Amino acid sequence: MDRMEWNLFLDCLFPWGETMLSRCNQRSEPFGLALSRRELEDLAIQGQQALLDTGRMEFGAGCLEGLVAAFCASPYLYQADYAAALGELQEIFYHWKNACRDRAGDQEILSAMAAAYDWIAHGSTDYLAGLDGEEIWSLIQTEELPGREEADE
Amino acid sequence: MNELASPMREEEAAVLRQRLFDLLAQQVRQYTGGESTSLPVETAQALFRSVCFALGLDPESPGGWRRDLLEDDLAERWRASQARIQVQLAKGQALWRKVCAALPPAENRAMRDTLRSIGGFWRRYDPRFFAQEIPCDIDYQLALPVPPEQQGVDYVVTYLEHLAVENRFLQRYPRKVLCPVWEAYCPHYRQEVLNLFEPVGINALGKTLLGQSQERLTFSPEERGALAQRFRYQRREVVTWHLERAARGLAGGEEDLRGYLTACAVQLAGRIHALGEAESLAGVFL
Repeated sequence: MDRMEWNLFLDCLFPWGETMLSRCNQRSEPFGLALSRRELEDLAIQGQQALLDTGRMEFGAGCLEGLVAAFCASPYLYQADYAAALGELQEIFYHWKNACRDRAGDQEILSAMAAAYDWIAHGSTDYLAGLDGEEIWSLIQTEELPGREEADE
Repeated sequence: MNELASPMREEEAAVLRQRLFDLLAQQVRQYTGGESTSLPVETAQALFRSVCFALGLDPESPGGWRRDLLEDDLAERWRASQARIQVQLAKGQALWRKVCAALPPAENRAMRDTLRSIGGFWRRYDPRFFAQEIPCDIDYQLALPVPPEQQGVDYVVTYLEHLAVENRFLQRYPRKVLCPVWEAYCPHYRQEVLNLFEPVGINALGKTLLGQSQERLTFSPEERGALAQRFRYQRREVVTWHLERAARGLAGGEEDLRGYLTACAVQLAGRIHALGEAESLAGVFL
């Protein structure tokens, strides 16, 4: 099957609705963060694009709910750029899955990303996106980078 | 046409695609141990091809999917296919051991390496997730190739069945009869990637046509000339008929060998006919 047929085959991807919105916001609202319905729809589209860009297929409900759970307590996330940050983090998540060649499960990756976001990247998604495979794998296994300086403030 | 055997309409194909997706999603969960919900596209496609192989579907031709699939419990059908594959694996391993124990009188490196690699297939093959794959190197070419649509363990079993037939035929003849044919075919027959059965089978058919004994399988120029004379001006159907009759005679009571030699005879008839009115069959009968 070619890619177009795959897209038709899996057109049930990301059936996000009120349930997803409610679950995400229930988790994040204690930290002053919430998504609107429109932002959720945009994130669904970004999530599909992230999968296309990283050459992956999703067979669950995507990584958004996991990202919200892992990142909502971060001191570097603010309501003003919450949705935009989640959009970038979706792409980074799938990039990290490829970089570690699927050796790590989703939860391991989410935990490592969140820890790196707070303690090494100091809220920089660009920093997380710029890590190479060896660095990503090291973070997943040890929560440390292999002999690299922390990001500048 | 039987309704259930007829192709699906587009809306029915959409229903089946959704059911296949659900089955594929189950496979993905099993494959990742529930630890991941996404996969690289290539891995997902391989898992899908494995599901289709197990269900007897051609993933490239959804237009040919039959309506009776809509009636089936796909998960149950997949489980039944796993049982079938296990039976094939047992059959294949037994056949492989027999083939390894009954090699032709002369060694050929490609055959040896292929059989050694197939020995590793039984360990490497993953019927659960990659049932369509053939994780081994098959360099030794058969006179009658395995149909390309066959996959996974089915391909390997058919390959071994064909090889068993070829080698059993070769074992009818002592080395002193076989080696001159092979040396005429290719002096480096031990090292080259070539089929040992074909030149012997062709020459044996030719000898049978001439009513000669099989104690010497190589041809003198006069004997080749006699064969060329027999084929000259004959229609392809007539050449084929003579060669098929020779194949049946040569095979005797061995049914699988008869089928194999007959198929080779048909191919040979095509080659002879393609030569046209050529005086010599030197490139055909060695």
